[in-house]
Amino acid sequence: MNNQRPTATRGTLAQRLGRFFLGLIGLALFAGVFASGWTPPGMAGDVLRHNQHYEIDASPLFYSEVDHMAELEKGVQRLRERASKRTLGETEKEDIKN
Amino acid sequence: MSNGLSSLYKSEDWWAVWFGVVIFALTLGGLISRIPKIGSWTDNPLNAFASFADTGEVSGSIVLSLLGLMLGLGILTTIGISFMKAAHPGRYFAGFVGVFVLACVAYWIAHQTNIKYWGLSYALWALLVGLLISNTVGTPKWLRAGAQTELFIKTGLVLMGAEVLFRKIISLGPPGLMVAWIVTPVVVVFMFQYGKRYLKMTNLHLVIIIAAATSVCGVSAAIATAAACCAKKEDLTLAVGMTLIFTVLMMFFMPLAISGLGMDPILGAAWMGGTIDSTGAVVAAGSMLGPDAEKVAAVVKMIQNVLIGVLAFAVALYWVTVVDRQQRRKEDPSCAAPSAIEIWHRFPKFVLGFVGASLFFSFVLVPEASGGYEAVEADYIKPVTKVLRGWFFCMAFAAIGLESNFRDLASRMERGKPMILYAFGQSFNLILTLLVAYLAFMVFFPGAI
Repeated sequence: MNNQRPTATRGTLAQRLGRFFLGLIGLALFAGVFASGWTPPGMAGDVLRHNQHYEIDASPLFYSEVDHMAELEKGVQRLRERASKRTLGETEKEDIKN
Repeated sequence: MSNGLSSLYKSEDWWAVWFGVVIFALTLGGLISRIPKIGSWTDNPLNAFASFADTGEVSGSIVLSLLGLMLGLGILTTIGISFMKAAHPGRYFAGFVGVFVLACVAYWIAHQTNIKYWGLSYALWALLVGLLISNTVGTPKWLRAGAQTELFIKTGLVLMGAEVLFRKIISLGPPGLMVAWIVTPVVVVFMFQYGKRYLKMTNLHLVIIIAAATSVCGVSAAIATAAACCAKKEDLTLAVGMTLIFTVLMMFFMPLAISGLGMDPILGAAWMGGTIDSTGAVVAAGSMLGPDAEKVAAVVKMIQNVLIGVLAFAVALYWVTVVDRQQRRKEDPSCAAPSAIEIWHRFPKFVLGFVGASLFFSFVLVPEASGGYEAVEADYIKPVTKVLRGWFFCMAFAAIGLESNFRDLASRMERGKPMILYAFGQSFNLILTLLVAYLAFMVFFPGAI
């Protein structure tokens, strides 16, 4: 990616430090709201309460970051095998009927 | 970008490849078996760095391992920086230490248990921490020397190649492929054309990043595409900000809509897997519909994730052969089509490292490994390359924050066009994915699951 010009900041050191600490407090409050365990009321908070109850980490960005991805993959494999057996069973029943 | 043989040791792209090669060689040779990561914590912030016995004494700590990691990565990247002459080595190393510490802070916030439930990843916190510094006290010169965003992103992407295993695409059979691999390219092309021709957005980099993030896998796809088309940091920041916000909203409301409509859970799971941007949010939303839906949603997303390598390669090639040429023709109408050698010179080489790592792990290492891909994942990817990739991305986002300011970000909004592009593209994605998922799981392959 292209390089950008340096970021510009204005004011005296004291003013900039003041802005920094205000920003830090803002960031801490922002993080604090999410870290507190608060969930939105009603249906909007259902997923969060579900995540809390089952301890589901919703933060992974890529599939490899999901801790139990291997189990999920194996689970799908089992579902497909079960579906395949079910289809075979139905075919056999139809053959017997015919 | 330097041309000729000297570019092998002077260009950032090649250094990203060399760093990847060194890390892969050390990992496969058994010299690196585990990379430290910041732990999860709920009430006691120190639990992120140490575990405590019942008596209150420290029973284990990762602080020394983190220092070792910082030194190791610092020394490795300083070698590259010295050859590239990108910064004074001493100043770079001091700045690198600062950026690494900011990455630790971002991980520390992101790994708080309740924050994880919200799906707010390290990328958001790293950006915010960097932006806080750059927009208040200003990023000091010593710290800016270590903010080598491009190098961190490109090295992270080469390492990510190991996680893009092509075997995964057959995990759900033909219906999974239909949902993940037919819809995704259609949405990318549709959104790019919509942004370019209908919205008439002038910043095509931002258009393709938003298109990739919406249709493939959110932040990871945004990073890969931004690097492949040499976008500006502000473009990536905007796209990542939008995708993180919409991901949380979709994780909240899609399961409710699916349950409310009385939709088949497997169909709903495939729909969410194909549309919600990040895998963690897909797993959480899928789990709301039941255990089978959780599995299907996660695997559809995983199959889509594998497209990231193909996408990065295609975008890099398209940019070099078409977009760059169009830009040059505006300045010089007689500009001819680029020759093969020119394409080679302009092509971002780290993409070759990314795709090469993916092909090597998929078709050489996995077939040779005694335990198959599960052993490769357990021995090399999960404990080493994935964690290192995360560190590089986290440092990259902290560096982006350190080099960005809100005024520049606001100037790229083009009267809200990026938001319109995201909203319209995501709506199109939702409709098309639902249609294809219905055809795949209910009409063509009804007994697949």
